[in-house]
Amino acid sequence: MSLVGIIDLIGLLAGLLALIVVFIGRKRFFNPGTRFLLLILFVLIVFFSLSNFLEWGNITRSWDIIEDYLRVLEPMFWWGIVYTILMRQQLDEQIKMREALSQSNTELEKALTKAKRSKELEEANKKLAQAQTYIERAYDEVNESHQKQKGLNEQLKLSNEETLSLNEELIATNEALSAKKDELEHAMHQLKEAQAQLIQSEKMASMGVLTAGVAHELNNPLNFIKGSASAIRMTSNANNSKELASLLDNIDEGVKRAIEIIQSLNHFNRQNDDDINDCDVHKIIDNCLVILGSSLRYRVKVEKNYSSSGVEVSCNEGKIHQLFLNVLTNAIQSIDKDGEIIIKTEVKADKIEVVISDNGCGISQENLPKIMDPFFTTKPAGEGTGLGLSLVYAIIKEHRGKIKYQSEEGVGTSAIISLPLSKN
Amino acid sequence: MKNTLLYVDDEPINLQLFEIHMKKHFNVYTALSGPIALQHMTDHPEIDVVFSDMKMPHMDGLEFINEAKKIKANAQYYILSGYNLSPDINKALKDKTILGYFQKPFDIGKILRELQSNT
Repeated sequence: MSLVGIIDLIGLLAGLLALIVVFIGRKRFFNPGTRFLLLILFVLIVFFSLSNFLEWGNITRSWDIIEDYLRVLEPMFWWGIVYTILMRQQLDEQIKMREALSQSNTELEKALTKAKRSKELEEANKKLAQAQTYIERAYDEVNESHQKQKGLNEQLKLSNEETLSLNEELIATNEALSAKKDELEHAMHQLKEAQAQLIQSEKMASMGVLTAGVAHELNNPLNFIKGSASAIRMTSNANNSKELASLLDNIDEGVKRAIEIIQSLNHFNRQNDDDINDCDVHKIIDNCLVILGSSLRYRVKVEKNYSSSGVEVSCNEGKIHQLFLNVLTNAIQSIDKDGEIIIKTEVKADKIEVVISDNGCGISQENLPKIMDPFFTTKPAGEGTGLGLSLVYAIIKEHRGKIKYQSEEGVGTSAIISLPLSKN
Repeated sequence: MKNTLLYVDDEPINLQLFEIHMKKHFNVYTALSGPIALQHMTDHPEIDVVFSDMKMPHMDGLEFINEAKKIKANAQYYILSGYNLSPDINKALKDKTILGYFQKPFDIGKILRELQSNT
């Protein structure tokens, strides 16, 4: 082996060593471009060294020119290797420093990132704080409005309660008003009845005063007539003259009838509330028929069907007279031309029932329930006050009796009166 | 011997007729008013039956009788009136101020019967 060959072998080995050092040991020291150029250079060096060592003349001859250039570069390479080895310590330090720098850079970056993040955080925090302030303010506002709402709610509740209580009061007031209205209506009705009674009582009282006066004034002339006739009978020879006796009898009959009428009238005066006596109902009805004689005569036939047993009633004589006078007057007035009135009395347990029936015009079913109402009349204005039967009803009530009317239009009417009998 | 009777009424015809009917049975005095009648009562103490109208001028029948009773308490007093029985007359009947009440036109038979029953 020649010297050149030995040198080439050493070069080969040194190149391999350098390759190992560069690529394995210090690979982080070179950047990738440098590493690529160095790799190509080493490969070429190794190739040419190997070719020189193995004396591949045929292969390498054409590459002589290139080899010449490479020979110029070879020492540089070697110096580079040496420099590298020599600078290894410094390089190591540099590497360390670089690594440290890199690390601290990384840390710095990290710190920066952290700081950045912290700043962001701070900003976010600030925003958050601001947002919190807003939220708190909003919360306060919400709270305030909630309180207001609560207050309003309370007020609403109170006003609701007030409304409810007002409503209840209103309902109660309404009910009270309604009751008052009913009371008033009732009072009005009673007032109307009382007024009717008062009018009728006043009328009867005036009539009483009139009849009492008339009766007294008539009684004196009747006394003259009766007394004179009696005196003539006593003093003359009337008993011997049939004609004179008959004439004196006529005077007596006239006086008797006049006395009957006056006495019947007198019964109507007895209307004091305290004036309660036992009276014969038959006598009272007969008295009324005497008074009504003129309106009955030749027109209305009266048939009496009286009970045979005692019919005494504890009553105010004047008022019971008035009662039957009114009922009989209505019966007479219902008869247009000729007709008949039947008066039937019957004792039923502790009561007397008087039924006065006529065959007059009758009362329509529509009017029948109203006949006892004050001021109700079917008679033309001025002919009837509509007070007669309302007064009858009041007298019946006062004497704890009952009255019922049955009627058919065009057929006739029946008044059924029931009065408690006297207990004596 | 006949009893003596006094009749008071403001109507002379009534006085005349009453006297005609009664003179057979009584010595009759008549008066047109209460005061005159009271005078008769004083003048004629033998009067033992008194009839009076109710409505008269000056004093009514009951006022007269009350006064007359002061003159003669034990006479029989009666009212003969054209009026109906009034509460005042009823009261007078109850407390025996008067013994009876008759209504005009008078029924002489009824009056005589009553007088007879009271003697």
